[in-house]
Amino acid sequence: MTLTSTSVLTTQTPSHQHTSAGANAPVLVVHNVSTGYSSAPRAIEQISFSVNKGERVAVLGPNGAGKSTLFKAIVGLLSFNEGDISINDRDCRTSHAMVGYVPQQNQINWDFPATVRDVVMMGRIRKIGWLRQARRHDREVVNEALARVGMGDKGDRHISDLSGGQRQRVFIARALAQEADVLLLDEPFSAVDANAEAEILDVLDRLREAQATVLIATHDLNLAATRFDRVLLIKTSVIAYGTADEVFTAEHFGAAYGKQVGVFKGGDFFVVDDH
Amino acid sequence: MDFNALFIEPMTYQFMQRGLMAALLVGGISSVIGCFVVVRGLSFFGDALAHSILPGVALAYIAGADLFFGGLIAGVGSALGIGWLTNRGRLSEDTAIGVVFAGMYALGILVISTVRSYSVDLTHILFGNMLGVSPGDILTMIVCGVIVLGAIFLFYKELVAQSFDPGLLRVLRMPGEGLRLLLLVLIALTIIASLQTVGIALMLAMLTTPAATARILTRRMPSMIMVSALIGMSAGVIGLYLSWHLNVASGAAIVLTATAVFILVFIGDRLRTLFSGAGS
Repeated sequence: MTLTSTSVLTTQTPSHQHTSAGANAPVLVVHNVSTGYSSAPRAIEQISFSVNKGERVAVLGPNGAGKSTLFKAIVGLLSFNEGDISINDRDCRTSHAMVGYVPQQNQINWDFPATVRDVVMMGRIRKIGWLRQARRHDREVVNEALARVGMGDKGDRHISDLSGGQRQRVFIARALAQEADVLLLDEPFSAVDANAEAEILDVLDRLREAQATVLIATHDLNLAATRFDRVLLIKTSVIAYGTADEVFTAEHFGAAYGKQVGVFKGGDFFVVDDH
Repeated sequence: MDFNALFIEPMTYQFMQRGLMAALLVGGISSVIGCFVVVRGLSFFGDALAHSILPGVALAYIAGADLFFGGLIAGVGSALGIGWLTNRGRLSEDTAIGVVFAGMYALGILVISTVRSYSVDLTHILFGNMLGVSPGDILTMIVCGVIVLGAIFLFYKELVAQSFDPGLLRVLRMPGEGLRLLLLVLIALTIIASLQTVGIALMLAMLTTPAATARILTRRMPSMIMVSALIGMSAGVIGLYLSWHLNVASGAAIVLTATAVFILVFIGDRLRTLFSGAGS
């Protein structure tokens, strides 16, 4: 276990939970969602928040806070009976292909006999349709997706030959090829080096210019504080949601991380997170 | 021995002609579906499923019914049963396989033990006999082959995507679970088509060895399937001839031919990496 300490200096006074939409209409609306697994039936409880088009949101919380659970509910990997999730005003349980999901890297078999282009094309299988083959338009979309993540010249590489950052970018390209409205990345910065982190952030910055809506679950508090429009801090329920200045307070982090938080006189605090 | 005596003369016998067709069919079908078995790590499932067919075959034998349909019911039933038990992590796959299939195999042995002198047919189910293939068996293989290869062709991109990342199918709201069950049923059909030639005990080799060899030689699924089919069919034919000339069991000869190819390719690949590694 590597112990890293992240210190975030802030002198802001705590503000109230911020859920009001900005000038843009919200793309993703999560309303009172509770769900979980048979071992933990209520891994997340009464989660509500909304994200506007083109926003980049960091989802923070300690281990077991429900970040992955929340993502799985949004993308459809986990069913939920309580609450509603809608994307562009359509219920995400009945609509499809609106959410792109980049899973944690250790859940993928990197020895699978496929090239980068093969994997990105998989994002289009629903658009291509049953009993049909990829057409020229599909190949163009795949090439464009690869170009947007800076992998335009690496389409014929085997996926086992990729670096950590490239692997993430391939899956981001797959989500782009899917023509999803919202992208969810589950801990893309875990288990990658600083170079890969910079690569991923660079891609995300380019996507932001194209008005992509992106949610990222992460343990990296510094990134969350500096590179995102909004921060969602959860521990089973929503602790705080708003800009980094609003969310990063000793009070909020104390509620989420408990004894992992130390507070200095004057309100500055630090979080010890074992990631 | 000249060419004629080695290759042509055996084929003057009708049972050898049928054996050759069976070898090509079984080698081709099982090595194509075998690619999915290998990339998904379903070897244990394939082996267990082959064994679970035994009670169906044994009961059909006792009832005087068609062995194929007995095996089909037991095989597809076991495949769907395992699919149901492991759906959404109700039971881990290896646990469910261990429990269900060992039970089925035991049931098969139990049924066989009630028959005082079970005839050649049942031992053939266990070990296969390429030279006892009937025209009806060939027809069975062709029908199974058309279904298996046809389904893989029609649902190719979905089956590959589901094998690589099952989560993607659910994100896309596509019936990933149905595709998984389809694959399990196709494996069951392949095993039943191959029983007469390689038998239950050696079925696993036909599902894994050609595909594992092809995996070393190729980097994409389409080429892996092509190479695997080529290796599977070649092993079938070479094994059949070896079985004829050396007077050994055909199923074992075919499997050992495939194994020999695997060993050669594996060693060749290690040497290549070694030398290319030393060169750079």
